[in-house]
Amino acid sequence: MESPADKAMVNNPADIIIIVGYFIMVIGVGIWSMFRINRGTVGGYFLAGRTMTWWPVGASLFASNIGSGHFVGLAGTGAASGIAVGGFEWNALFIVLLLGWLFVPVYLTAGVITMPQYLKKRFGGSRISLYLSVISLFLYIFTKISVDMFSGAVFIQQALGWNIYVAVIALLFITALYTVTGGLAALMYTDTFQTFVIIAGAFVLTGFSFVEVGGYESLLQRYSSAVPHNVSSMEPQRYNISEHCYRPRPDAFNLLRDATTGDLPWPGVLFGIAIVGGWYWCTDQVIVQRCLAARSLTHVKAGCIMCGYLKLLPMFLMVFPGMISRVLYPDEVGCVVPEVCKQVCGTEVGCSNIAYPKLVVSVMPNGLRGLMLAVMLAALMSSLASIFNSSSTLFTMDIWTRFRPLATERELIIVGRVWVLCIVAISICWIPVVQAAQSGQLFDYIQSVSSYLAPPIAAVFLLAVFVKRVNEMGAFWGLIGGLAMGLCRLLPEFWFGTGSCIFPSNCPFLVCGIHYLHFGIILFFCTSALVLLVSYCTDPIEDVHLHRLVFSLRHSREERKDLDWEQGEKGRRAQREAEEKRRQDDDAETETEVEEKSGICHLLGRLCGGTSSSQDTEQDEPEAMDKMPDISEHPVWKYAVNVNALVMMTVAVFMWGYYA
Amino acid sequence: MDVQERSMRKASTVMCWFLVLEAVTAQTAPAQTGGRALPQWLTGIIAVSGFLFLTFVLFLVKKAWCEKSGRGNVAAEPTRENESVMSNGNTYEISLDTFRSKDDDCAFDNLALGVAEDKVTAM
Repeated sequence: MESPADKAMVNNPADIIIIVGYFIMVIGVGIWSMFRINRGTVGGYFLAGRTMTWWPVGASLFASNIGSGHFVGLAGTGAASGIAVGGFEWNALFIVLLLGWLFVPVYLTAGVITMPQYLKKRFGGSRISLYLSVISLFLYIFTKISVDMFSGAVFIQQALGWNIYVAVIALLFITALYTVTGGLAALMYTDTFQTFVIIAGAFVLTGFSFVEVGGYESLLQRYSSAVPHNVSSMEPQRYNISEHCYRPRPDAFNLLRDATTGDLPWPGVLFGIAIVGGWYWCTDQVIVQRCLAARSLTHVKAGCIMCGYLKLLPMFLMVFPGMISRVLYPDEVGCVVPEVCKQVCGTEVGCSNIAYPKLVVSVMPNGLRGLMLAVMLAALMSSLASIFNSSSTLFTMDIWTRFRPLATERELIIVGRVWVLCIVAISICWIPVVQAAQSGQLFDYIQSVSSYLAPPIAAVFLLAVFVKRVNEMGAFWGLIGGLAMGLCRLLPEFWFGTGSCIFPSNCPFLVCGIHYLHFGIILFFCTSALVLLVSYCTDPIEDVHLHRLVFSLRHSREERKDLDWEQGEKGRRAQREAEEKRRQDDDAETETEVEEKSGICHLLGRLCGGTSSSQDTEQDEPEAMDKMPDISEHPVWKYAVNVNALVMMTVAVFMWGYYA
Repeated sequence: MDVQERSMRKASTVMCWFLVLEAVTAQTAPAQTGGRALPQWLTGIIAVSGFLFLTFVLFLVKKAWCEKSGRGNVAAEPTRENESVMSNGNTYEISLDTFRSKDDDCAFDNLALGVAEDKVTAM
């Protein structure tokens, strides 16, 4: 990828001091949290011991969600088509409340760590949970990791001029380092710190940008006339550039656009994004894990409200600066002639993705540029770390235990860490693929892939939690049917390519004609219909298997016969026998072992979180299984939290109404 | 009940205030900004009042549901408090759920009835 001719290098003392200081802070917070929480147990490593208060929960939800992909993608799409892309963020305000009020109570009383585990308890059998684990890991790699890494790489390349691989590998290793050692506790505390860094830095940049452009009113006026100077085709016999390709959209300042001709039609924005958001916030391991680590249900709800308020900010901190960038640099950010674009940013499709990096490099003074780089690194590392941690949870608890049911806790924790390193290697290998792909519409790419694959999962989870009648057959065939429908749209669209304004794709109208958000809505309802149809035609699941697994039975205190109990019992019996045998062997060896443990071995063991005595881990395990997570709430706090949620929804509705 | 009454009264005063505000602003001449029929802050206020009205309606519906004898499992969420009272060395459970009737979420049983406790003094 080429970098622009006048790139500013971050090579002055002020910038370097700030970046180094930031790294020291992050690693410091990670190490501090290492000593706070016992990471030697599964509960301690994956769920931070269930001791988190509301502010790390809220901050972690926000920081896990906002990645460098948001900075680059939101600003880029904002520059290209206006504020409607902010609807993706503002829709989440409502979905995050659904998470706290409807879904997390059920997940908490069910006593699960991962989402596939919940489905296994709810439906029985193992094919659904295996399918979900595999598709979640797949979606993580292709929509989250690759996008965040690519955005970070674009930014670093524009700001520093480093080779992409060197920069990304260094980032990945630092992230992997504090993920592997600290577990979820380290992540959530560092996320809180990184939320401050992200918001502070983004505010500073927004301030400077508005000063440059001359204020909010000036932005409103100047945006519609931000056209590049080079608009004539260089090869008229091959292509012609029509005016609507380079002129800013007339509805750029509307959130809700025309249902047929708009680039983000309003039914899609209101309902399609809600469905994809329902998958992302309510059923996805990364987000739900943070809520499960909270101290009590009230803390979860308060954390969700805090995350909601924070989600108001990206519109002002990323979308508007993106539009300002187009106003200030129309020839680079708003370039339309393919040859010019290739010179500016290395791709012919368009250069809207460099909107945010260009602002950072041009508008910020020395020292503050280093701060912004720290902000991007914060966003990138917090998201990546969360994804690494959650995917290692998924892999360890769902896929590894399937093949090795006799694994001890210690082995599971080590496997979790090794998987993080594996995923780092896979991500590095994915960089050239992302580079080669059409990088012109980054946010479109994520959202369209999500819209084709996520609605069936959202539908199944929603029905699983609220409709007792849904059973294993219905859920499985609904998922498979939904996947088939999604692939019917996904594969042809990627085969024909998304095209651009000048060279539209020749995908047939029947396949690609429907907007991806509308397709998501259709897919959701079709999958729901299929699930309900198959469920009603087959046997129901009795209530005795469903206590504390569905919303209507979440307070029930009756004994539950787990559908996966037999499977789990066989595993537990085998594990107990293996433990007995191991203890007998250990007793025979203890005398010789004590002398052999050298200083270095001990230090390594401490670093990796393995406690020297296995008795600690044993004591923790039965306790965690007997104690049913309590979802009772103190009535005063419950009332306070409900009122707060209502206030937040009112604010959200006002913002939607204002910009509609 | 008291808490609910208070919040209902609060919601209705807020509603009245918004209706008055809407009536007042509807009389002012709308300004034209970027092809919009109404000023932006007005559409915001209209959206908010619509939302609050909807919330109010849902609240009333929820209250009506609880008062009916149907299975309003969304309405009455029993609060689990392990409260107990010590009296003369005997501990008494005073959580509300021990009295809750099986037939109806909003009704309570009198547990003193039907307890066959014949205290007979030995002759």
